[in-house]
Amino acid sequence: MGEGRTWLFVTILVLSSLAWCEGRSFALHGSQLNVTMLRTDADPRLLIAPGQTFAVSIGFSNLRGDADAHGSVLKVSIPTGFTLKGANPAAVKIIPGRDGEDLVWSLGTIPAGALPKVFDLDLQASADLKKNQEITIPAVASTTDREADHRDERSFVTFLVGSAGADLVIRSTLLGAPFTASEPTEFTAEVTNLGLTDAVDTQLKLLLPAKTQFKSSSPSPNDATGNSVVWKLGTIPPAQSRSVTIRVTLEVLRTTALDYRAKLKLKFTFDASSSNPQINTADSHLEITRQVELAEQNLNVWLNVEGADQPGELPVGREVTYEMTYGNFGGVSASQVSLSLKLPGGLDLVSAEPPAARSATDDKSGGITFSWDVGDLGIGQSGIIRSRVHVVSVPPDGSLVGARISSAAKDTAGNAAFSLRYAERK
Amino acid sequence: MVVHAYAKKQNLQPMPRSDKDYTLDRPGEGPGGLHPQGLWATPGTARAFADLARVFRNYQETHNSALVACGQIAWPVALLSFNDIALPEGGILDLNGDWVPGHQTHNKGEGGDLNRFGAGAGMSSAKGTECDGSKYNLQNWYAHLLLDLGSPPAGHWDCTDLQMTNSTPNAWNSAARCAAGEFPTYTPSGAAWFPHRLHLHIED
Repeated sequence: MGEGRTWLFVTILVLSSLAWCEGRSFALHGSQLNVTMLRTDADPRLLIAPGQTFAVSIGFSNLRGDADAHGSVLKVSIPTGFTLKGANPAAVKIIPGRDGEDLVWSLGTIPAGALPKVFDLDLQASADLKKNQEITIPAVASTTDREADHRDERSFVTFLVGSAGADLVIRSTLLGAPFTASEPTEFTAEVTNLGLTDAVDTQLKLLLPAKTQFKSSSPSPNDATGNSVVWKLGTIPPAQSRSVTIRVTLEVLRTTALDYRAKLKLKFTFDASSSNPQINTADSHLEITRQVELAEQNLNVWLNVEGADQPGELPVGREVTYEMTYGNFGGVSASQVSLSLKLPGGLDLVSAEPPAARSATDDKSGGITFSWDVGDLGIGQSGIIRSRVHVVSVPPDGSLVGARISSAAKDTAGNAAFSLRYAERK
Repeated sequence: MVVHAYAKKQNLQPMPRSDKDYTLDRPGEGPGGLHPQGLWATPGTARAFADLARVFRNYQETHNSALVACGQIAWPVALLSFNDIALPEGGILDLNGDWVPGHQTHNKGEGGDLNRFGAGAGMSSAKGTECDGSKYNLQNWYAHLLLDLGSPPAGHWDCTDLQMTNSTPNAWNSAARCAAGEFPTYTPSGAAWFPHRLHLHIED
């Protein structure tokens, strides 16, 4: 099948599929060529070192056009400072110029709705480029037609010249990890090379504070002596990372008095290094200080009402929304968590999102309690339950709505909480 | 001193976890993560993301039908993969736990990150053959199709919120270049993983 007919076949299928884009219709008329550009080698940043090889990909489509684009041409200008090492597909013409060379592809008719054609370039930066120099590669699409939209006909990528060298940065999840005496603490340490050269023989060293003990890690350490743990991470290419998951215990603290534990601050020190020089060592050292948390859940719930004109008022005859925001802000997970919303007489539940699991009527007061089972609530997990309520009536002394959260853990601190919202009749 | 103030964002909802058109692949999501819940969005953005994922998949399947019809092998269908969107109540989705704001639309649930089909460390050389015999690197083709589909009016790709705010027109990180269509994949502060993802604004 010839190229033109192939594109046409795709076009018919694509046009029939445009109905999927309901509410986002491509309302323009005529062809609409679009050019997109990306760096596509292993380091996708627009940052380049002198002498470095890299790749750029150009997409060329008429996806949003509703008419064929005739006489279509793609022109990509390779500026002085960059050298073309290869192109796929090969350019039809290469036109040398004063500031570089233009690569030209004559593409003929691009059917309406055509998906991207891709043009991949392999390039090399000159060895004599200067740091902070900017070099732009523009790409322009043209057609002999009067087009509906010229906005995306051109694109360009600008590269910033940087220094050759490794640049290691350490980040860790230790700051947000549960840190209690009863359970091992698990966290990650990630070493990223932000430089433009491989970081060779990369090493991560963790100095543990006193009163803590290294338990395990993935990958395993190459050395763990005293309070020092070392991992050899090998070569880290530019813009890539290596991560270590670490478990430490605070078991020696178990016998320490509770209030002392809560006040104790422990400093962890991370250092990353490589055998070749780094251009910036500021972020290859990281210190994180943690305070020991008490191992208990901390459930909380907040009740808010929306839809009233004034805070503290309930509009009789209208609907309002009671919003229960809940969460577990403690250091351990909570299991079998349930929430309840108690509506007094005069307030009728219209709907809830998510729906309540059950309800119970208080014959004495006429109020109804609605309940939700949310299951396990992990550390830091939160959620919202919204209940639309019709205000039938409000007693002269106002209406009091209550929300409660509780878990299966009995007689422990933080296992339950309440929130009340009072409103008067409007 | 610069003070950033972000109000609580109402009515965000989590992206549904089960969907045939996309995946949720966000490191740190779940208990123990720095931000255990970072996949919340406004109803409009959640709907737009789901629509984009559906259209992205449908275009590939349509394209595959054409490939099979002309005797070529269908290409693997890539699903959209969402990364950071927003916290349950919006606010600062600080990448490094340092209280430095992320992109503006992360704070409001009106935009989010899409993983770039394994680019960077996961770069693949897998190729597909078009009906005319052209061989395309599939990762690149997926990325170009997504860039096309996410462009206005569907949304717009991040520029100014990733420090592309230099007021000098010709600076490499200028807002003017951003507006002209340049695609930013580097920030001077060194957010190395950003280029592995593409940030799409939907509602701002």
